[in-house]
Amino acid sequence: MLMLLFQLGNSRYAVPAREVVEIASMVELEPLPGTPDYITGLFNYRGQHVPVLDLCLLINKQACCNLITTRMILVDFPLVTGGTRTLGLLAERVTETMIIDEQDFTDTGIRIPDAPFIGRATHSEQGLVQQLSITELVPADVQSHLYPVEAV
Amino acid sequence: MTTRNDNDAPQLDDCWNRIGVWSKDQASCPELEQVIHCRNCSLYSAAGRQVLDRPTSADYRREWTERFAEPRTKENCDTQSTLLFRLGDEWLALQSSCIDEITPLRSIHSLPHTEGTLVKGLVNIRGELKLCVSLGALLQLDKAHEDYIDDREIHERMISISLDDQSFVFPASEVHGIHHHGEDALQASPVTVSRSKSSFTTGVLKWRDRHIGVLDTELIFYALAKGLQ
Repeated sequence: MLMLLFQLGNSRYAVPAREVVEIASMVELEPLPGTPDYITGLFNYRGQHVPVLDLCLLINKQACCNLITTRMILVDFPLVTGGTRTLGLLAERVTETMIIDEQDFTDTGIRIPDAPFIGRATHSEQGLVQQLSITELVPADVQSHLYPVEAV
Repeated sequence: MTTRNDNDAPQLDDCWNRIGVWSKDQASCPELEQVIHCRNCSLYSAAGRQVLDRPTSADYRREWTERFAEPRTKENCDTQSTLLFRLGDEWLALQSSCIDEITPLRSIHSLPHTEGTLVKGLVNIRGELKLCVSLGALLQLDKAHEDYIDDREIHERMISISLDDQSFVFPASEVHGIHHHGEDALQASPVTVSRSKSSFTTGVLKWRDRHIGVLDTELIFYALAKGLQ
């Protein structure tokens, strides 16, 4: 399975490349008041309003560095109400992909109630790589703010 | 977003210039035995990625914001592909699906009793004898008036074409290559031209500053077969 690698703080994470729509360069984001701080803003993606989530803020409580290698990973985010919407994930060092066998990702056995999106990891040449589960990234209550039912 | 200064960027060790393949002396890096060339080395590609570890400027972010705000333009996938070639002074286009091969000029073995016909003789294309015809004679084109040689390097070519079980070879003064165009790029040929006897064109294509006649493939094959009877 082709995985897109990226870095949050000093740790390596990965998402399956098949879930990625596009890797976009950093853009100017319009802030979204009233949303959790890790929702950094909104941008116009080819006529579509796409909210962007700062993964570094979500996981490390520190915003992503302003570097060219910090990019937005655009994914189709499955909503709890059904259907999918495009979501931007801001991450650092989005420069590499790697083929990792799906079976190589094993359950770490650790369950963090506030971070249900991590839980599977593998060891690679670059050290530990954790798989991020996109479906768990945005809790249902935040989803209902970002994607109201009538807009879907 | 936190910003990082340029000074924080790690200094690059350009080992490829020091001990690698670009060193002034004999390359001495022990890794080369494994990777053969520096470009295959992970250190080299990692250094390449470091170039991207620069802060983005406001201009950079604005440019990308504007670019993503544009609606996605639907690419026209419904294109036709034609081969552009020149016969004498005339640039022509022929559907590329009927082109088998383009070869350098081969010697033409003339056949008896073919003077004044479309037949030029036989050519050997990969061990197969094929009938060489003059497309210029069929289309009633004149020999080149302009001198093209000074312009650039020009090679005459042989173009092998086939449709169904018919196959011919004809020499061309020059071959440009394959050109893709949308359905709407093909304009109707001027009435005066399409009425004339020598018209084998389905339309006119604008290419660079020229108008190129697109030949009607089936009509060409029909006329060639008829001209040989």
